[in-house]
Amino acid sequence: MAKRAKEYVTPISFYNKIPYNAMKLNSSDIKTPVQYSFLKELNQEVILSTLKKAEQSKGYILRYLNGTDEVKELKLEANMKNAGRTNLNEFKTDEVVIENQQVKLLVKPNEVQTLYFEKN
Amino acid sequence: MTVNENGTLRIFDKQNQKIFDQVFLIENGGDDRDEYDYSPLPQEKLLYSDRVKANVTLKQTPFIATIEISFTLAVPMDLEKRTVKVSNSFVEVELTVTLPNHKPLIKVAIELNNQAKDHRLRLLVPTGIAANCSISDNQFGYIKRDVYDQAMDVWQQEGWDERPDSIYPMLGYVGLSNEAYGVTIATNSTREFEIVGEESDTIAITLFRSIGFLGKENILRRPGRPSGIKLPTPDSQMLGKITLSLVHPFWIDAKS
Repeated sequence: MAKRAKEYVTPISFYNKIPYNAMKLNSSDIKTPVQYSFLKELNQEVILSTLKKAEQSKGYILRYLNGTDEVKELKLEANMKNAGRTNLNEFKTDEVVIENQQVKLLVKPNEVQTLYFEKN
Repeated sequence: MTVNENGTLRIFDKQNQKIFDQVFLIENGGDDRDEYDYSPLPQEKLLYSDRVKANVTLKQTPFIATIEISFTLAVPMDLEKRTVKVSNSFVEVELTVTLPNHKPLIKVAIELNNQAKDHRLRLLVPTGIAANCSISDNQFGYIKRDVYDQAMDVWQQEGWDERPDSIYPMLGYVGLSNEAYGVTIATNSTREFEIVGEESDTIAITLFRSIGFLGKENILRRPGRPSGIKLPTPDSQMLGKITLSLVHPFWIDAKS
């Protein structure tokens, strides 16, 4: 319920680029694949809050929370390395085991956790 | 899903084999209070959109179904006219209900044209669940609240300054549930609700409140001095267009 509500209030926004330029923008050399998966949630128990690039290093920061009153598990799949939980300052507090490109972490009720990882 | 003559929805939930009727009925009542909070009029009879005649258009594509519902609700111009029960003004209501094929939810965008003062408009969602408590979210979690605050029975004997009405804020959603199913409303705009109805089975979402003072004295919910100062605030009558890209309920099983 909480997760669906969160998805509703923060929808994925995108636009469909028309064949000709409505605005003059510098053209980009980056070619993106038609299909690409950055990471995959293997269960629907915790609420993803933020995904961003880390401030000081080349990895990514994922923040998530448990909005229920029971301990829940976060299960993620991504081609990643050097995963670890951090504090809000993005300093690593512990290492996280990656097994078969998956991480599993327990989140306490009302807890917010921050995960750092790098892409392979 | 079908649309009733008065613009409310009749929804058959296939998963739970349940019918929800008169969904999105509009309730209108006086608001005798101020910028701080709401207060009803003494012995007030609430007005409903149950007898309006709505204009309805339906559109269906392979991906989405859209229902546009519009009607005009006659309401009193101000508190004075409301006391003598003369509906000499109006609120235009336009609901755009969309049902995407790939998601178990109903989206509602609401556009209002308010031409009356000193009143409150609410959207009613019947759930068929006689509830003791509601669940709504706050930062990083949820809060369970009784649908009726027992202190409302004793606030005068115990000398409270104010009657603690069971009107509460939410951050993103409010829901009622029983063993079999639950009904939730998520919002991206208005964030105030109350559980109403004889059985406490209806979620009332405040669409807007129209008031004329910063603080007002001697009202039903708060005898005595005004909260803050009694300063006229004509802009808070909310006259004109109000757009709420808003509430959408979805039906889910109780486990989640």
